Amino acid sequence: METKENGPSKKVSNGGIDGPTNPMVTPLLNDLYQFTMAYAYWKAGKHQERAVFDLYFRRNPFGGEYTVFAGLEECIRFIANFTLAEEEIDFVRECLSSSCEDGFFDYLRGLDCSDVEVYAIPEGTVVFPKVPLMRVEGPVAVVQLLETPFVNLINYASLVSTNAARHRNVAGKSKTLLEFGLRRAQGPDGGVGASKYCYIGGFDATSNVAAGKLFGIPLRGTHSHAFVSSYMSLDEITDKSLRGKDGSSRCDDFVSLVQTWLNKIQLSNGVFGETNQSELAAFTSYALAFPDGFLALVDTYDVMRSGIPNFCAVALALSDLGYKAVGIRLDSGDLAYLSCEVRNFFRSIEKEFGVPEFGKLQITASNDLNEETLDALNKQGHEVDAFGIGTYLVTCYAQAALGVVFKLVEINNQPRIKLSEDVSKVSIPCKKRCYRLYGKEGYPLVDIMTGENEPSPKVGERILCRHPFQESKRAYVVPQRVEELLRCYWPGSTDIKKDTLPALRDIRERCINQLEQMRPDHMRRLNPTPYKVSVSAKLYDFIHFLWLNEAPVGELQ
Amino acid sequence: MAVNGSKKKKSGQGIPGPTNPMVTPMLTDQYQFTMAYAYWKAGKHQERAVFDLYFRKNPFGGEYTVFAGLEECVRFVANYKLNEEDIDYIKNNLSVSCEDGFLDYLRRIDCSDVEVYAIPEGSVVFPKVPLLRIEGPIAVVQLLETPFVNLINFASLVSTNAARHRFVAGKTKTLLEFGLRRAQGPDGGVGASKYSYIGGFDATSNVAAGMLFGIPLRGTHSHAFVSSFMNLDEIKDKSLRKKDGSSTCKDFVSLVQSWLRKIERSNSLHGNFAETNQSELAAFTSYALAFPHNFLALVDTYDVMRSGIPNFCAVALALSDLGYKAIGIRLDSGDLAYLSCEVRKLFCSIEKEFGLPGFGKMSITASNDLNEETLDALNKQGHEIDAYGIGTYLVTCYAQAALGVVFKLVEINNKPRIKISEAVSKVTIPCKKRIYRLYGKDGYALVDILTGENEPSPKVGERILCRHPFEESKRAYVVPRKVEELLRCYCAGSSDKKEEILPPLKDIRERCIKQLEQMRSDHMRRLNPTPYKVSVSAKLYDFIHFLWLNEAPVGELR
Repeated sequence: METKENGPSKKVSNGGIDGPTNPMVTPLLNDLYQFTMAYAYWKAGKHQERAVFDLYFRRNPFGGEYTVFAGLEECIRFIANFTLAEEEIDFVRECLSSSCEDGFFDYLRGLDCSDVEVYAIPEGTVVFPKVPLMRVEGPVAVVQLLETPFVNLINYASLVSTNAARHRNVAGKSKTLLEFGLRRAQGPDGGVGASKYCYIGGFDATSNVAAGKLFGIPLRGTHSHAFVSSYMSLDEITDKSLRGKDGSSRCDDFVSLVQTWLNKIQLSNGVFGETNQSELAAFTSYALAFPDGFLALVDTYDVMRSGIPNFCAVALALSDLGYKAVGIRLDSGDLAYLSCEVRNFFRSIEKEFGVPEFGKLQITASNDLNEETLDALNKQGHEVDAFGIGTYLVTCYAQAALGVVFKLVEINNQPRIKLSEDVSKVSIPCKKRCYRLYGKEGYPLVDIMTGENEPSPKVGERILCRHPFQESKRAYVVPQRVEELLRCYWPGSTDIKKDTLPALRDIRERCINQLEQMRPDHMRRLNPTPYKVSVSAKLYDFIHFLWLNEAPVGELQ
Repeated sequence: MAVNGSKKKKSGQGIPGPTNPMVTPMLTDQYQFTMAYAYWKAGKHQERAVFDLYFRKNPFGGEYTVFAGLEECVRFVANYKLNEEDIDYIKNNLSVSCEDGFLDYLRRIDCSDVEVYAIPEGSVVFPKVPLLRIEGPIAVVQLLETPFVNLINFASLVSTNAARHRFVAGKTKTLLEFGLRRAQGPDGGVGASKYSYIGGFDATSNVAAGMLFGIPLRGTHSHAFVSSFMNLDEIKDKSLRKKDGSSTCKDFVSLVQSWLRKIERSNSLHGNFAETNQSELAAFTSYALAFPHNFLALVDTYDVMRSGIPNFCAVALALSDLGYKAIGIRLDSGDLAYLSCEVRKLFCSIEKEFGLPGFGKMSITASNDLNEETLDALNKQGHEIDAYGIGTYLVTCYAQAALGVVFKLVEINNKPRIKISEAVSKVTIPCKKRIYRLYGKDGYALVDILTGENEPSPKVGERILCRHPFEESKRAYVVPRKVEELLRCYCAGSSDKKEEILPPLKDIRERCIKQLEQMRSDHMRRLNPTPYKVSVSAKLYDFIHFLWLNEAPVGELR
C-alpha cells in the first residue's frame, strides 16, 4: 500500500502504522478554533488536564433506523503519526494573535498522541444515535486538536457505508453491485473514500483504479460512449486476426466473421435495418483487445436496433473461437423494459443458433441509479444482473452529510454535560461503557450505556433500560447475550491491550454479518422501527442530577 | 506544496502538481485504461481527438453556475506521468492478454501533445457550453476524462452554492465557511473552503485551507471549551496588561465579577437573570486573558439570555476598562432571528447605561444549520446578525450533492462526432467550436453562442441569428454591443499558441464577483429565475441536424 508519511520523523513509536491514506490529513486539517482553544487552555495552565470526549451522531441518515460505522482505521493512522511540522507551527503562529507566547509553540512542537487513548466500536458495525462510536481520552488540548479531523474522517465514511448497505439491501444479495462514482464524487478523495466505504457497505467492485490499487478492491469497467463514437467504420481495424481461446488455431479475419454473423442475425430476426457501423467497429475492436472480457455498452445509438444486434454479432463470432462474451451495459432509457427485451433477444439467439448459455449473458445497468430507482425496477420486473451505481451513491445525494459530533463528557474525572434547548441535543455525561443486548432469537434488542464503574449486564439477569430523556420510556431486558461495544485501539500510555486494525475484507465481512443479524423491521426501507438506545437506571439519575445543577434558574419579577 | 511526478518535458514555467497528492493518473475509471489499450491495439491511440467538458443542467433550481476547478486540471496535466508502480498495477489488473508494448507506451505518456482550452475559472457559465475543450492523442485524452470531471464537478458545484448563499445573504454580511468536519472527506473539506472563497465567502475555519490557499481564517471556541471549566478558581494567572501597555491589571477575574454584579443590579437591563453559569464565566474570562484583542464568545452553551450574554458582557466591559474592544458573540442554536434582536437590544442598553460608544454595534455571528432557505427566512423575519458561519449545507451541497458534468467526444481525425440519445437534451453538439458571449446595450450578457471553429466571429453592431440547438422554432437575431470569446488556451501542447497564466485565487474570486454582478437580475433570483439563452449559429444548427440524421439508425416496419 502506497502511503506518504506526514511530517518529520516520528518521535514515538507508532506501532508501524502507516499514515492516513490521504496525505492531506495533517494536524492542520482542522478548525482554527481548535488551535485558539489549545492556546487558551495552555495559557490557563489547563492543557494537560485529562479530558474525555465522545464522538457520536444524533440521527440515522436516509430516513432509516441504522448506520454503519466506518472511518476508524483512518483515525488511528492519523493519531499514530500525529506531529506538527515546523512550517505548520510557523503557520499557526501567524494565524493566532500576535500576543501569543512562544512557550505555546514549543508546546506544539513536542505534541504527539502518546498520552491519548482511543476506544471505539469496530469498523463495519451497525450503530445507533447517541451511542459513542469513539471515546477519546487525553490531555484536553491534544484531544481538542483531534476533534475536527476525526469528525471529518468518520462523517463521510459512515454516511457512504450506510448508503451502500442500503443499496445492497434493496438490490438483494444475488445482484452484483459496482461503484462507478469517481467522476461525480465531491473531490478526488471523496471518490477514493467512496470506493473504500462502498466496498465495506457491501458493494462488489469499483471502477476507481486508484482505490483498487490502494485497497485491493476488485476493479470493473468496460468502455464509454466516446469509445464507440471514436470509430468511423470497420476499415479502421488494421490487425484483424484473433487467436482461438485454446490457442489451437487463428482466425485471420475476425472482422469478416463478425459481418457474417451480423448478416445471419439480420436474416433471422429481421426487426432492424442497417446497424451503426461506427458502433460495430468499436465492438469488434474491443473484442480484439479483450476477447476474454467482452462487455459492450449498447446504447450509444439505439439499443435494440443497433447496439444489441452489433453486440450479438461480435459475441457469436467470439463464440466460434471458443470465447464467451461477458454481456452488455445499459446506460440510458427504460432499464426495466430494455433489460427484458435484451434478455428475450439473447434467449432467442441461444435457441436459434444453438449457443448454450447465450441467454444468460450478463446485463449491467448504470443510468442514474439510487435506492428508489432500484426499488422501482424490482417492482416493474427486470432482467438486470449487475448495477453500476454512481452519483447518488457516492455523493449520498439523499442526505449529503451525517451529523457526527464530538462532545466533552468528563474533565479531571468530573462529568460534564452540554445542555441545549433542544432536548435531543443534550449530551450524556461521564465516561461510559456500552453494551449490546441480544434476545433469544439472536437479534440485538437494545444498546445500553452505563457508568464506567457500574457492573456490566449479565446473561440471564434482568436489567432496567431507560430512555435517557423520556421518563416514561423504560423496559426490563433479560439478555441472552451481552456484547461490550467499545474496544481499545490506541492505549496511549496505559497498558491496556490494543485491538488490531482488521483488513478491509474483514471489515466488509463484519458489516455484512452485522446487517444480517438485525431484525428486519429495523432495516426495511419504509417506516422502519427505531432501535432502542438506553441508559442504566443509575446513569439516568446521574444525567438528570447534573442537568438540574447546570441549568440556570430563571427569576420572575 | 507537493509536486506530483516529474516536471514537464518541454521548457516552461514550473507548474506545481495538484493540491491533493492523491490526484495521480491512477485516479481514473478502469475503463479509461481498457479503452486506451483497445485504441492502442487497434493502432488508433495517436489519432487526434477533441473532447468537450460541459454540464447539462444548472444546480440548485437556479439558472447559472460558477465554473471552478480549472487550476487543478492544469496542474494535473502539467505533471502527468505514470510511474513504474502504476504500470505494474495496470499490468496485473487489466487483462491477461495485455501486451507489453502497451505498457511501454504508457511509460512514455505525458501531456506534451495535449491542448486545453477553457473558460476562465470563476466565470458564470451555462448548460451545454463547453467549459473545457481538450485536444490530443485519443488514448491520452481518454485518460484525462475521469480526473477532469471529478476536479470540475465538485469545484463548480460548491462555488455556485457559495455564490447563491452570498446572493441571499447580501453584500454587507460577512460569510464564514465552517464546514470542514461535515464535508465529504478530507479534501472535500479543503476543496470546499477554496471554492466557497471563490464563490464569495470571506473566510474559513479550515487551517489547512488557510495555509494552502491564503484564505483568511476565523474561529472562536466551542461548547466543549466552555464545559471544560468548572469555576473561576481554575484561572491561575489573572493578570492582564492594558492594551496600550501602560499598566497591568493584577486581578482581571475580580474585575469581571465586579462588572457582572453591576449588570445584575442594573434596572434598565431588566434583571432577567439570576446567577449565571460559573463554568461559562470562567471559560469566557480565560479566553479573554488568552485573546484580549479578539474576544468573541459562544454564548449558547447554557442559556443565551440568562447566562451567555450577561457573562459575555461582564467580560467585554472588563476588557473595555483595559482599553480592549471585544469583537462580539456567536449563536449556534435556538431562534436566531429572535435571539439576535434580543442581544442587539441588550448591547444597545449597555452602551447607553454605561456610556460605552460602539458597544451596541458589536458583531453577532450565527452558525446553526444555515443554508439558502434559512438565510432567506431570517431576512423575512428581520434579524440583527452581522456574520454567518455556514457549514454542512454549503460544503456538502446538501440541496444537490452533485453537478452533472460530462465529457464528450466531438471530433476525431478532423471528423465531427455526435452522441445521440433518446433524450434530446443529451445529444452532444459535435465538432470543434468557438464560444462567444454577446452583451446587450444595458451591459448585461444576453446570450452565449457556439459556432464552428472556422466560422467568422460575431461582430459588434452586426446582427447575427442565434438558434436553439434542438428546438427549431426558438431563434432570435442579436445585435451585440460587446463580444467576448470565452475559451482561452491554458495548455498549448505542441502548438505554438500562447498559454494563459493561471490567476491567483484572489483574482479568480474577484472575477466571480464581477461576473455575477454583470448578470441580469432575473437570471439570478432564487424563485423562478429566467433561463439564460445558449444558442448555436445557423450554420452549426444545420450541421448538427445533418449529422444527427446520418447517424441515427433507420427503423424498418413490415
